[in-house]
Amino acid sequence: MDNQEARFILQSRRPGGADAGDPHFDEALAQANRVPELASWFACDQALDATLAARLKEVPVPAGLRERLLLEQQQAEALSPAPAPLRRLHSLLALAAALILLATVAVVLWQRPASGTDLVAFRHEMIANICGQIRLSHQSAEVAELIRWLAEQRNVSGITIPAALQSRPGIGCRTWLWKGQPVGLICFLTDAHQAVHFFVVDRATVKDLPADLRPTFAVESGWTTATWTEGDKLYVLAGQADESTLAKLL
Amino acid sequence: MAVLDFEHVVNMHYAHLYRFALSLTRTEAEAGDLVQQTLYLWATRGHQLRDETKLRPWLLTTLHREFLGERRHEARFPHLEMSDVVHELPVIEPEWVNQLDGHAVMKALQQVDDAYRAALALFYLEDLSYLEIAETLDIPTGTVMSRLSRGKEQLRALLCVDRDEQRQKFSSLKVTVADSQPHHG
Repeated sequence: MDNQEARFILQSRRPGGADAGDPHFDEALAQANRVPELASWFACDQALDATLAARLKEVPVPAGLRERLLLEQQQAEALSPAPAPLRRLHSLLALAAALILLATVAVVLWQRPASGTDLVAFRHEMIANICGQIRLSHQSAEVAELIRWLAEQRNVSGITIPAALQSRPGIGCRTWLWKGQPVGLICFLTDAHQAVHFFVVDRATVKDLPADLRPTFAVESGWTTATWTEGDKLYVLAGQADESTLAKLL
Repeated sequence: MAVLDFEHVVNMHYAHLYRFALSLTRTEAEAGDLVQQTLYLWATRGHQLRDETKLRPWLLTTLHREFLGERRHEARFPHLEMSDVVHELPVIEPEWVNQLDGHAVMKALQQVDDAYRAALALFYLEDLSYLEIAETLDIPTGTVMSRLSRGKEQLRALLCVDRDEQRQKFSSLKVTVADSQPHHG
């Protein structure tokens, strides 16, 4: 082995002795022990590598990256029927749940509302929309950003969100059409890392509404809903939680 | 063995992944997105990993593959032979590097050719051996050694340029200061 070969091999040796037991370097090290010039070069090379490694490891990680990663995963899980680990561990149960979910969606979609009113029909269809995976058009944890996006991109504006709900991080938003009119949806993340869904539509779109509808709770297909009017809007908040949990967000 | 918890995985690995991603992508935003995508893939596909010691190589390999995929980097990197590699590395003193901050060294690393950068980043940032780098990047060990050799050459050349530029600036600054001194006598 000549010095050039020895240098080539020694360049792959980590500083700090981590490769001490690797026989791959033995011959090159023996060559360095015989040639002082090579030994000197190797000592400098290792020192420089150690310094470069130390400097690179000092590069700071952006503030908030960890929190962003955790939040985005929570959002992804909240929008999924079940978190990924559970799907893996309980694949059979998940399959059964998926079948039940499909059956529920089918029932919700095809069952006629018990009441003939527009409000019941509206609520009924909105719940059908959020059964299973929801495809969001825009995602952000910033609620103001979601409100702005709905106003600018979908012409859904003048939204009044209850203060308690507004303090929760957003997940995303989208719109649907109901009777040809846009219905805005904003998804929020609760303390329990569950998604709740906030719908808004012009009250004129839904017929026969009371003049001033206070939050009214109902349960349908496993979803608890609160429905109310404010100004010229009708709002529905839906979550897979009990009434008291939902009431705390209003 | 217990299933690894997402938050635990994030806490243990996000900083390492970020620095590796930053060395590849060159921008903070892209690096953050690459880390997020890697962790998302672990959350959706990586739960079969029960041995925590295999987690870091899996994450690094996945991140690198995602990087290559995003860049549509389908070109096969040349497998350099030892004879292709120049061994006379630029001379740069550890004392000079000690004066630099991490950002300056990272900036130099980011300018190293794509072909060598991932191996070099894993060597410096992750302390991986040449065998572990070969496994992570799925390339032969001889190729790892060539990439390390050539990558080091480039990195040191870039740092030398930086050093020489700064010395030149410092030198011209001294001249300017000397010229601006009031003349006495």
